[in-house]
Amino acid sequence: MTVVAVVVTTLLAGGAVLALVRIVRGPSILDRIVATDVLLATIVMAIAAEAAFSRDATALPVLAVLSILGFTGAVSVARFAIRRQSVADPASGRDADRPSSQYQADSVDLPDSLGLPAALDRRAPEPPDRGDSLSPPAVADRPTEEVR
Amino acid sequence: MSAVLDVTAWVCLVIGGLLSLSAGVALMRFPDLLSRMHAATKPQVLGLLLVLIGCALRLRDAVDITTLLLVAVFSMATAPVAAHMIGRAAYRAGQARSDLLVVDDLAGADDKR
Amino acid sequence: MTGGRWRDRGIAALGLTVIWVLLWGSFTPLTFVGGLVIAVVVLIVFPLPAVTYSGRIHPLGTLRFAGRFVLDMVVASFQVVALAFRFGHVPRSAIVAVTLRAPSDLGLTMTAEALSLVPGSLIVDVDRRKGVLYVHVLGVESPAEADKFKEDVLELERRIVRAFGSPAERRAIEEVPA
Repeated sequence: MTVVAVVVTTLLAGGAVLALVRIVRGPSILDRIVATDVLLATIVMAIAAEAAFSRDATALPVLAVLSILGFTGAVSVARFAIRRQSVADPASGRDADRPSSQYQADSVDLPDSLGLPAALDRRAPEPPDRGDSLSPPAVADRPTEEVR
Repeated sequence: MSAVLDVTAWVCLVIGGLLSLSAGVALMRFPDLLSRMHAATKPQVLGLLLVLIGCALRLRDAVDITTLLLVAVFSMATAPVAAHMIGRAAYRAGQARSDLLVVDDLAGADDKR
Repeated sequence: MTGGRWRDRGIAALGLTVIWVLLWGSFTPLTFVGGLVIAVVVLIVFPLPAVTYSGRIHPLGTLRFAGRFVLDMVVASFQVVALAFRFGHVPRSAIVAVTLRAPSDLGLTMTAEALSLVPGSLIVDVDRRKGVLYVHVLGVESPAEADKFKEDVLELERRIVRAFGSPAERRAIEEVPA
């Protein structure tokens, strides 16, 4: 049993370290979100494994919270990142082969049918570029930091 | 009986750990963001499910198993949505490396909206 | 029309109540009534457009879908693992457009969710009106393999419709050969 505990701990730690390296290396903020997701799933696995070894269910509610939290975090950062990127890209000169306006206009809508019909329908009447008109002054002083 | 359940739980935990490590390796090795996201959705979710199964086999209590079931359902329902959000953001930000794509049907689909 | 809407809301409230009871871990009158009250409050405070579900759950189709889903998930996971440990090999991939044959909102959502977890694929974009999914596939080396993958997606959709679909969707699936 102790052997199994050591093996599982080592494997999970290895996965967590690799995810951490990816978080540090990036290169873009989206890579970091994906790696953070993996790291969070590894943490959930570690807590569940600990509960399995000690036969102690105290930490289980934490798992339920974490599994929701990871999703909320990933989605909100993805939406945040896409808006900042559409503002920052023309300045930093990335991606010159694509007209930046093409995805700037597209950048604030939700996935059309994945899971969030409520938010979709309630946002639909609003003008699609709300927010973008406000954000350039806010982010103009640090346009390169988030992309690379 | 109890010993059989325990051994099954150990096997689930070890395979789950292996899948977690592989997800980490895939995260490091794959060349672009969209490929890396496959690591976050498939091995990671299966590994999580296996560890939860192992945990349920060890705890064997109805209250705990319902919580674990909820965790499993949450992560299976949310992982694809998060992946879709990030994938969409990545493609529109031009982070899909077209030199790695054999086919790209989305490139020509300007009228997709 | 209004009757169907109330039915949808009832299902939503019941679903939320089930989650609440599961969170408490025990079914007692207090957790059930408490969950029901909270579900109703949540549905009033955060109103959702009704997700109309006109289909029926077919037990055999659901079982077949679930079994195949688990199998696919294991296979897909180990494919990614195999790719991850093939050092010195850069996996190539493809973005494939797949037009679904029965594009109801719910069917599209379920197919997209299932696709992200199984066979080596990931949703990049969705055209809700035309019912087109843009799918990123890992480990594709030739256009022929990409075409073969489209068949797999349509097969997955067929299994989902057979499990949860409405009669109209089932007809649409059966008319067009895969």
